[in-house]
Amino acid sequence: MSTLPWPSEWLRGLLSLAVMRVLAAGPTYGYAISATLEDNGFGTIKGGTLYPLLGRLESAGLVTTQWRAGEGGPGRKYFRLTEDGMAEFERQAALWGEFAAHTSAFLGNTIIETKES
Amino acid sequence: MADETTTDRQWYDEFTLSLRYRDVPGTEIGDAVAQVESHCSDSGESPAAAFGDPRAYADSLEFPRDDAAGAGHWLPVLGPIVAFLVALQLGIPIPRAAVEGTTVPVTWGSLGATVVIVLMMTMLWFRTRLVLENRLVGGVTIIGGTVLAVLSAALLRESAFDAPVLVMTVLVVALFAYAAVGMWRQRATLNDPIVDPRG
Repeated sequence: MSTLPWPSEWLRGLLSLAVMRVLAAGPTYGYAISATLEDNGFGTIKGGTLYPLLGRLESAGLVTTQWRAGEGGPGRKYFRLTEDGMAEFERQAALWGEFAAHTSAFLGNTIIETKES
Repeated sequence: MADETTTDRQWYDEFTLSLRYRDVPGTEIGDAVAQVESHCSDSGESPAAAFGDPRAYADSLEFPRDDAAGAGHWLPVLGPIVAFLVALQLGIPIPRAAVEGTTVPVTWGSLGATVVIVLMMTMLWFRTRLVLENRLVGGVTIIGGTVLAVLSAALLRESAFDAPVLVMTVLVVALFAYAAVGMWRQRATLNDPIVDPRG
């Protein structure tokens, strides 16, 4: 299972894909995204990190937003993947899978051919 | 020590001001503030705990209008103000020349003051925060610039060129007209309230 803390530089590189993964399950709001990521071993994602990322996804046309009335509290801004966003998520997820498999195979090799200088 | 509410209020004030300095529209500021409030309500955190320094957070956000920033954005605002100040400055010697029946002398000092005015307004527009919050930079820009413009106009009395009263009057009236029309068109920009998207 998760072995926190993951190196922060790994998380930074993967955060955008992880956020799109949460949104691929359906529209949701910022704190719920943050809580889902924390439950899945990504540690605490602060609002100061999450919302600028969501803003960049929105600027890129991968996400749309909508304010919805809250239940007993202030309204919440929901984020939804667009068709382009879903396609981008699937593309990046497949790429990540290949990269992870390649990296695991490389790291697991006991014999590595090295080029002689 | 300030209580939490006061600290939070200061955070929101600083955040809002930082976005204003970036010329972010009121609707987008309202959206960003509501987003922080909503997140903090859900997480139980203070804005400072969840979002860190308000200026840094404001700088990290992207807005659609950022892409439009360029001459097409600032010229309609800055142009009329500069035109008004230049017209005011060039117009001063016209009545005397008209009464005396001479040409209007445009002095090197007058031209120098015009350049200083343009530089001051440009600095104010592009480095608003620096000019207003840094006493040294603000003092040099506003007080120093004003003194330099006045001294330039008062001391450099040598004529760069003379122009007929009619030509100068037409030029000054045209500048005032451009300034008036430009400022009228920008009135909507000046009235840009922060709108909460939650109603």
